[in-house]
Amino acid sequence: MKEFSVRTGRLLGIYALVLGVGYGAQALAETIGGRESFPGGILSIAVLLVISATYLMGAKSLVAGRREGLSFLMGGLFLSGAVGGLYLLMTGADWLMYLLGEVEDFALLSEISPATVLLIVALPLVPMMRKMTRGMAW
Amino acid sequence: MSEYAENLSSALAQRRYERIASIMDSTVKKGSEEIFTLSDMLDQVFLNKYLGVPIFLTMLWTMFQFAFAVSEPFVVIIEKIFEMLGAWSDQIISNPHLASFVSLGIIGGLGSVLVFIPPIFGLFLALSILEDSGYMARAAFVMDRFMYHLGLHGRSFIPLMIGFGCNVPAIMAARSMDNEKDRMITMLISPLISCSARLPVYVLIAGALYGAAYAGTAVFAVYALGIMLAVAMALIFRRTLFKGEPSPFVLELPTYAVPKARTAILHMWSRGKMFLKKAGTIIFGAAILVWFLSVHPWEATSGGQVIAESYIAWIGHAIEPLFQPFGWDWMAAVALLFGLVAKEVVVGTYGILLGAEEASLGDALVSQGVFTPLTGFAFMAFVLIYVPCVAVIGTIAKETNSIRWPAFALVYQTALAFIIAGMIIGAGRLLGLS
Repeated sequence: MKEFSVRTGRLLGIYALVLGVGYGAQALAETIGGRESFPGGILSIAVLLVISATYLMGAKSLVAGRREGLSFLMGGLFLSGAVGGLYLLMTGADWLMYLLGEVEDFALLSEISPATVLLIVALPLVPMMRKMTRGMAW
Repeated sequence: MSEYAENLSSALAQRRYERIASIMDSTVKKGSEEIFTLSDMLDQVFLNKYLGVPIFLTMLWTMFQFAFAVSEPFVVIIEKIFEMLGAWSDQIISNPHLASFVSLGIIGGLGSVLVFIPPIFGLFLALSILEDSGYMARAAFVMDRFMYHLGLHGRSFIPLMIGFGCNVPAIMAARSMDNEKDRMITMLISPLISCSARLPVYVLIAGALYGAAYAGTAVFAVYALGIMLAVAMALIFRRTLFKGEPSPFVLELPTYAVPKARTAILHMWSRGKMFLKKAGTIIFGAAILVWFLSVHPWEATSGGQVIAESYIAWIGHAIEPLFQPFGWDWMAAVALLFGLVAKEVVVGTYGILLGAEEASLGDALVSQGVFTPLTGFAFMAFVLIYVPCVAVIGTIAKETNSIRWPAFALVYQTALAFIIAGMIIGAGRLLGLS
């Protein structure tokens, strides 16, 4: 693995912290407000909390200068991709239902879920991680 | 002289150890905290003692949401095709018997099962992606850690994961277990893992009763209930019928890999083909039988219009008292009865009994008040738990070379289904739910 400086580690740690807090805040908002754009109820809240915990554990390690934080960051990116990608596909499915006449309206902006937005926020980490793990075997 | 000999020995020894150190430096990897592969990095997260199980449940939830929510428009497309076929057959077929057979038997019966091809294939695709990525082996490892504390064998989890597709190969996969007791426990609890045949029942009822927002979660809850019951029953069997300690679990974890689209689709297709073959044979045969019983006697039912006067209603009313405490009517009773042939037939039976007049079978369930959210969930739980199908019973008989164990499985699962459904209804009513 490519060496990374303490500064890079802290930067990645802060990024992971922001994402962890973002997912946690969304879970809290869902619990209190029950946003319709975030279906699934209590289980979707639990999923957000799991992703939040993964990023926060990575943030803690990275800010402390420990390499294992990169593992949690990678795991968090994977989970963000899976869940954010799922909600993106669900938005597409809702659009198809609108085309089929099964729902009355479809407003793209209100259909895009916060999990998809957080995935987009997490995307810049992907090329950084790829650069740091270049040459590593699976 | 002796001094020179001593120096020579020391020098030789020193050179020998220098040579050894040099060879070791170039060939021996010393243990350290350094992570060398991407798989090691991901395993730090996915096998983490705190995050491992929550991440596994997250992946499971994502899988079911994908199978249900994303496939919904494709289900609607297939429904519309069958509606058109139904309307067309009503127009061109003059013979009332044949028209009833086509619209009710084929379109209402078989068609109501085929509309669930998208979520079933979606589930198989998601399972294939998880397997090809290397994550499934980690799931077994994570669950082993949890199951070992309960005195269960982690190797049981692999056949259980196969059970998400079909319980028959899951029971057969128990052959890989050396310990006879572990093998028996695995075979007896495998049917509690919800197979793909039950998915149409869940998709139908959850979609009708809970709406798009919560249907995926309801389906996930049923699957989670199955896993919890499998673990609970394994624990009970370990402490009663099959006492002893589980044998150690050794599993080679494959490296992670990016799943290839072609491979995942091929895996999906090979599993989905089994469903299509079953639909064309067993389900089709059962649909014809259910149709026949629901439109005859032809005169008494006015050509199939008055189902309440049919043979199937007579059968349903005879066994209805068993299910009335749960708030289910005679239709639920016959659906469960014919579901013994294959679980998809539960949906096919409703498709015939409720007719194809409604825009969809789900709409018919709601408009005719067949289930409430509480009784619907209890019904899904019953379908989860009671005997999956005769093929499973036959496989247990073959694998155990006895009739005692399949008979035991039949009895305990049916009893457990009644108990759990009763507990759900009781708890729901205590909480004031309807």
